[in-house]
Amino acid sequence: MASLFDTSELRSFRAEVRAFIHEHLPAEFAAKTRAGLHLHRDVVGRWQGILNRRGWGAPHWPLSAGGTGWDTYRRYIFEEECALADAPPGDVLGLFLAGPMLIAAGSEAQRTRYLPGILAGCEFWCQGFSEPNAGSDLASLKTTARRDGDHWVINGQKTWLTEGHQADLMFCLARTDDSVKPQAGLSQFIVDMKAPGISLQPILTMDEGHSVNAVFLDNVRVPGENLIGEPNRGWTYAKELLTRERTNNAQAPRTKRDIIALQRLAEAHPGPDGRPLMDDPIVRDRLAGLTADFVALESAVLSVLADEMAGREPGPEASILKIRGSELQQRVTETAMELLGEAGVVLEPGYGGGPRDPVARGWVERHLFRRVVTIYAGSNEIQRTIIARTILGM
Amino acid sequence: MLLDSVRRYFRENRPPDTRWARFGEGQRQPPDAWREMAELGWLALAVPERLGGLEADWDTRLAVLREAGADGRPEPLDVHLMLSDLLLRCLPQGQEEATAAAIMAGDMRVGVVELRPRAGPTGGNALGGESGPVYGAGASHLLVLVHAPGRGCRLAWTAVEGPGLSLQQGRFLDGRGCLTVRFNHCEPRWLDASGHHVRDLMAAGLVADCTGALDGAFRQTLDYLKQRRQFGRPLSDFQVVQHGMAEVFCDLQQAVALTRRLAREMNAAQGSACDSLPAAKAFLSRRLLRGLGRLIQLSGGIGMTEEYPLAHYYKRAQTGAALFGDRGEQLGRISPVATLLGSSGCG
Ligand SMILES: Cc1cc2nc3c(=O)[nH]c(=O)nc-3n(C[C@H](O)[C@H](O)[C@H](O)COP(=O)(O)OP(=O)(O)OC[C@H]3O[C@@H](n4cnc5c(N)ncnc54)[C@H](O)[C@@H]3O)c2cc1C
Repeated sequence: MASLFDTSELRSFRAEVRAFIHEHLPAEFAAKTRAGLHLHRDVVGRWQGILNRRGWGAPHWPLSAGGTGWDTYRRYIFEEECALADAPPGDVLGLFLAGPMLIAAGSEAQRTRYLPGILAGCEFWCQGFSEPNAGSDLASLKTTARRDGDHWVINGQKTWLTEGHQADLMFCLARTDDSVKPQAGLSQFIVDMKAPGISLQPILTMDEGHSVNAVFLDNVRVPGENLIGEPNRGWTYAKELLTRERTNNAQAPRTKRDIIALQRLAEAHPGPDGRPLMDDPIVRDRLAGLTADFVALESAVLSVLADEMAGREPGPEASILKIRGSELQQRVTETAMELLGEAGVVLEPGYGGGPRDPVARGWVERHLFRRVVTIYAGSNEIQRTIIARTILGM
Repeated sequence: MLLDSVRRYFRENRPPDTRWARFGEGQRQPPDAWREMAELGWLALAVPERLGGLEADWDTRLAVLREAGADGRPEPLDVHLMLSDLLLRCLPQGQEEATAAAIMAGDMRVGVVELRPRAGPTGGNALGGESGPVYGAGASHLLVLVHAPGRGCRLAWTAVEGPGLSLQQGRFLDGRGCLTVRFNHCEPRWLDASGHHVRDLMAAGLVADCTGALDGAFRQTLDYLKQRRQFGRPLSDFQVVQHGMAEVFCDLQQAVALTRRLAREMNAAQGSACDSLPAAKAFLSRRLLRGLGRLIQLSGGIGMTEEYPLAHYYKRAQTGAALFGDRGEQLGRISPVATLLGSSGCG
């Protein structure tokens, strides 16, 4: 893909980004990013702060809100350089979900209060949408918000809150009117995670990690000004937000980095006959196949980004990126597990200790956790339904 | 009869939910389970009648292993059900009876471990170097498969506590205990059997075990999908979900059929692993794992959690796929014509 970006301007842009990362990314952050899945907020926040001080805190936000004004290619090059250098990924919940929603639907006061914290990497968000009985059928959610003077009082249970235990704030979807059809009676609120009445319970996932949580809201009082946009318009904001989430879920630059790492693994790791796995034509063939599929994914991502830069919000095509991107992510780590063989199934004795063989670290955890990428942000089955209904008119 | 009692025992003695609810503390073997299994006669299933055993056929043994897989049992029943008779055959006559008695009483526990060329024998007949993982948690004795370039795979036998071994604790991906061993001038007893044959027997045991895992996961998922409601209907009403389950069911039925075929072929070949083994093990590594991944997908977020069974089954099958010949290796053994005309010469 080098040729696509091969103009002197883009080359010098890439060089500038690379030099900056090289100079400012602490080696320990890169090592943590390679080894782990669920990075601590300190790591994510400190790197975010570094980028923000350079003016690169949120390249995909409008210039007026703190963005960079870069075009599609520059944004993509930036993401790619960050991924290739193993820089900690930006906080999806703040940078890609809460921030853009507040920019699009929040009040001026909300933007002034909350955007700087996201940009600086000092305030973290979580997403309170799903409930135990409202997963794919999100609109059936039961959590209620009722007006009480100049406050709202929220009651209910949310689940699967990614990084809820590290978050300062939650954007929470709750029912404000149950006399209308389910989608029409929902509103979104900004909830302080330290507010009285909030309690969390960790949920451990199959990678032996803790990143998700159940959250109970018991008479949680939220000031009136924390309503996002208009009452009973929460579903519309949620849909727009989920579309943005899907575009980001393609995770193309990080997948590119993984495929490169996979080749390095195959070059270094011996097969049963003692020779590097990469000498095996079957292994080479598989890696080439993944690469070809990646190029197709990247092309689709770039074209959606180009639309976005031309002022068009991503529509149902984002579902294509979500499906193909998530499937490819799974196939990459499945391949890694096959290459690793025994090294991929022997762990340190203590729970959460990760693989024994350093060569397998990061791969095994990612492989297991990535079962989720086809489930969350609207499962791939639901995405296919969206494509069939909204694009194909079936 | 035997299978009923196996199922009953598994149901009544620390069923998977109770073990997985405390998975964070380690997927340990309940302390009395091995002795109880000995008392139930299961450890005699692979011991010849002339040594006081039950000498069960391969159908029975693989069927028990399927149940163990479906229950996600942490005890290494497969090592014993696949290898006890072979081991006893290789020991000098004087030791057979005592060893058989110790195995049947649950006092001697066997583990299997591979030693690769990089580690290799240090010269002479001593073992040196770092092994792969020991399959068979809690082993007191080891069958060591020693791969040496140009010399095939030889088989050695040693006590875990013997001189020349140092052990490091670890876990398999699914939480079962495993050791890695550093051999340092360890002088094992060399046995007169092919290490390749032992590997194939273990691989056949894993096919049965992982077929059981898929079976357990499938039943769990089918129940769940009938109960879980979204959009005002049970998930099992949606055609996409139905088709997904039908696909996995096809994989499951094929895995069961492959396991039965392995058993029949092994009965006919008197315990030699058989023509279908590479295909069966390769199937396990691809279709069966994919089926388990699909069950997680169809269950949604809950399928990803540690307290729910599916992830544990998935990790068990992932472990089984990697050990004793992974997919690449098994596919490399398949020559279409030879396999299809039944003379691939494996085992
Ligand atoms: C690790 C993790 C992190 C998450 N993070 C967050 C978060 O931060 N915030 C948040 O709000 N949520 C989060 N989620 C929740 C996630 O969005 C839901 O898991 C997802 O929407 C699916 O819902 P469910 O798990 O209840 O599955 P279900 O809705 O019960 O679906 C189960 C299966 O049935 C299929 N299905 C359902 N309905 C249909 C249909 N009509 N037609 C065909 N197939 C159907 C689904 O595709 C799926 O395969 C997270 C989930 C996980 C596992």
